[in-house]
Amino acid sequence: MEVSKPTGILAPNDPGAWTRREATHLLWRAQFGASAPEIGRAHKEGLSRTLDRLLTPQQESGEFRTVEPLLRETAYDTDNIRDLQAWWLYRMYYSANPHLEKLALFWHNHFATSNGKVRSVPHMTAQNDLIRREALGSFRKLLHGMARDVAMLIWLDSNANRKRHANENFAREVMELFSLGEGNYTEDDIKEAARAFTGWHVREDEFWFNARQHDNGTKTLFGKSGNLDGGEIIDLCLGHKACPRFLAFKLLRTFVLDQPTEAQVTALAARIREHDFSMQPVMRELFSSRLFFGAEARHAIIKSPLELVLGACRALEVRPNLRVVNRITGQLGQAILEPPTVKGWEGGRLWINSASLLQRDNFAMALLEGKVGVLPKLEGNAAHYRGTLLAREVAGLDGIKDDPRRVVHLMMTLPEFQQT
Amino acid sequence: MKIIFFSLFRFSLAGMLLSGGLTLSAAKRSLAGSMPSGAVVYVEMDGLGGKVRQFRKSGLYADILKSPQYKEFESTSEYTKMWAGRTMVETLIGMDLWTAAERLLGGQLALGFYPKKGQAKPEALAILRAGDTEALKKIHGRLKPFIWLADDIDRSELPGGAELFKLENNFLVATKGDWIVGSGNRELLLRSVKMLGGQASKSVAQNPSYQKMLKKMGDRHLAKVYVNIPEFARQYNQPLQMPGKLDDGGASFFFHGIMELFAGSPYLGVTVDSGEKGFSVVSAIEGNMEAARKKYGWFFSEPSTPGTRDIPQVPGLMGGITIHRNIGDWYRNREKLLEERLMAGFDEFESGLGNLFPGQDVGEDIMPALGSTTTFLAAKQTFEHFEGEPGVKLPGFALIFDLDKPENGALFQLVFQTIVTITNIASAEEGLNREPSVMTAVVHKGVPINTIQYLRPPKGKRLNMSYNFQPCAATVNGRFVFCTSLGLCKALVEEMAKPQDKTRVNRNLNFELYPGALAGLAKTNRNTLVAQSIQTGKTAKQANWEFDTLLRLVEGIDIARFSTSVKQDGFQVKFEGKWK
Repeated sequence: MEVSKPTGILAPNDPGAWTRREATHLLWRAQFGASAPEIGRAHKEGLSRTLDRLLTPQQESGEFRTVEPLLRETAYDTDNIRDLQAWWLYRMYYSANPHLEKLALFWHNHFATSNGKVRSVPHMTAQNDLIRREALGSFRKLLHGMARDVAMLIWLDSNANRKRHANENFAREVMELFSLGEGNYTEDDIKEAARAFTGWHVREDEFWFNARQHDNGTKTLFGKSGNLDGGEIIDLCLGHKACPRFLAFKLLRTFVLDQPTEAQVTALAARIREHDFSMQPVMRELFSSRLFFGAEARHAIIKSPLELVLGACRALEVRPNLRVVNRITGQLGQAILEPPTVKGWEGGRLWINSASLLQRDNFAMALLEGKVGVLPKLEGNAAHYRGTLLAREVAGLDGIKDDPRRVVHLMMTLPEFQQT
Repeated sequence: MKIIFFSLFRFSLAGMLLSGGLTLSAAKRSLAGSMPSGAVVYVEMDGLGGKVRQFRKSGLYADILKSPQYKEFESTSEYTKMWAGRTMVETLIGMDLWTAAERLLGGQLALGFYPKKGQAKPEALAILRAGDTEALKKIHGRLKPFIWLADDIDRSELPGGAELFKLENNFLVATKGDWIVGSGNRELLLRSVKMLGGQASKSVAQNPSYQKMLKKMGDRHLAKVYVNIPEFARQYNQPLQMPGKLDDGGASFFFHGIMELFAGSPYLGVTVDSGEKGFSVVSAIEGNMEAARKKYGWFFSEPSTPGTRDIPQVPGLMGGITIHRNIGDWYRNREKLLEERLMAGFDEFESGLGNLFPGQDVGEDIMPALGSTTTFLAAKQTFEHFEGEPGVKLPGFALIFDLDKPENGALFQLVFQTIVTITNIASAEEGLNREPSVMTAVVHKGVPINTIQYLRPPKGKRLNMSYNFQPCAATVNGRFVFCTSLGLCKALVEEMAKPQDKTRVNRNLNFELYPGALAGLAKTNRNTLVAQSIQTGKTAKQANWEFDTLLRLVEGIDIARFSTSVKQDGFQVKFEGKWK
């Protein structure tokens, strides 16, 4: 099928407007921060080749291929979620496919599932694998996969969903949080959908369709009636006009700007529908667009704790202690694999309050004291870090002649450092 | 007062732990006779040159050179500068630095520290008697022209023919024949030079407490440290007194008796020895043991008896600690020993424990039911209780305590069953992914062992870590055993049935480590340990190298033991090890 080209605010940005600052902007948004060499490379390669690299699978390094499975196996062996968190942090920081990890975090927040209730490293890992498999693939497949994912089924009490007593948890979240958003369905829609998911259970640690507990009666959703099952419910949600809009809003809020307008959502939703929920071309168009490089998208997102901590480590080329990173990001409110509620982390301005701002400053101090990882000798030239740490120019910084550590600390305590 | 007391105490322990790994060579003339009197701390080392040679030829040194950290250092400009500096020095002295260190340190090296009025930092005096006089002469001869040329070195000659050099910061060095003396204090240096030249003067060797220490600990050691405790306290105007009450229950339980003895001792002595078979570090203090035992009978064992029991030598033993303490007496005296503010914690402890012992008083019934020896050990776990293995394998642990009366075993069996039942229910409630179990008993060699049985024995190679713990309890020969492994419990039943060796040496506390068995466990969990090291920021190469090096070091030791002994006239702390 012929796919149209994006136009308007999503039309490709002027290729001539590709400077180090654009490269920095892209890398901070598409991955967890960027070091000066990474920015230099992206700037040299140009937008198109950089996006090729970010959006297509890259060969991992030998060290990564050795360590990643070791950390994963260790999490299985210890059955300790802290070890699984360290495994994912390792992937986020060292993978040759950092955008895949950033997008995996986006989907983890979208399908927020906490080990606090699941209490199983293998199930949380399996869900994470599913997310990563489809992060840049098909949202359609991802949503269908989630409906059969063991961690998700435990998280949303699917074993309690029985034909005589339908449990609405999963059906509600499929509509409210996974595909449509509030206001786009009725309470009756949820009741009908819940009936379709009856019998979608977990048995012996695997998905099990419990035919005896499945409601085979006629259900009606969005005007379609019949003996609908869970898969058909998901297809009906995906076919609903609100679904791409819901996704577009979340993508814009995470990757482009904190308060997307109606027009921006409409434009991106059209592209999502055009690509039939295939995420790779959607992300490519988004990251190439005039909107993404426009003034209103610059300096427009408050860094999440992971962006803040991993980004600062990457900018200063620190080899981080992942346990410490995990502890700090947890204290700042973003413990991966343990989101606070089924809604995930709301993010945006909620990341910052009087307590967390102090903690963010404490992190900066700890990082520069070498308490977060091995800090290499800092360059004498403060401007070297200004470009990697700050999203926009700050007057007066170049004039400061002081110990580089103090200058970098000053940069990391500026309001500008909290944003990207 | 407390600060100085504890700093001395820590110094003695740290000294013992840091000095391991050196070798003993035949003692020659001690330098204590040339060290001016008044030193509050005196350290003497003998034959370090041999140790330098041994280290250079050791696998450890080879490992360091192969380490990723060293390889990384080799590529830095600091390394290049260091290498260039070393080459210059070696050219200057006409021999490589290893040889120089071997030949110069082959004799004795002594350090004395003297209190400086009104200042915390003491004066120091160092004496080196070279093992190879020719080497010292050669180096001296080659350096002479440079010393003559240097503007900031004043040279003069002392009566008796010794050369005196005044270096930067008024540091003085004197040398003649086979010795070199250095100090920032001219008077001390001149007194030492006189004694080295054969003139009589008051020296450390004449100090009665130093002589007492030598009498007790012997003179021939690779290293010895002498601390004149009363002089130290006097010079620093810090009268040594035992704090009335301690503010830490753990410190009281483990150290209360020794602290008071230490405060009254005329000296603290530490000796270090090492040879082909092993090493030992001994620290001793002197005191009136009869008086100490009267006051702290719960702490000190009777010196003429073997003291605490031996650690049962079960198969796969990794280590253990056994300690002589009359817990009941200590507990009853807690108000005299500990600060008042700690008592609320004890009340809380009693209330909590009281729930498990209905109708009993913790202070009057439970604590006194415990005897004078408590043992804790770790040994290989057998996992015979299920059809699989945990992902991370821990050792089996056992806590053994003497019972004041054998019939009290029933009291602790009851508590054991209560705890196991609560844990069983709680783990299900908390969703801890652990199969439910029922209480059962097995009889081994006629001894009933209470334990649990899983209704559905867990299977698989990656079972939850909690499966490392299979609670077991038994009463054997008037002792109560609580254990986390049925296999270990059976082994203990067999071992504890054997009579104790009544001729063994007195030990008040005995901690033994069997690194070979420990290394085996580390190897089993290698991937987890390496992964956890990588999590802290190390590369895979670094983490693996560190693991392998540590393993090689540990495997080189057959047994390491830290023990304390009550003697008729004092108390001794010993850290010893046997090489494989």
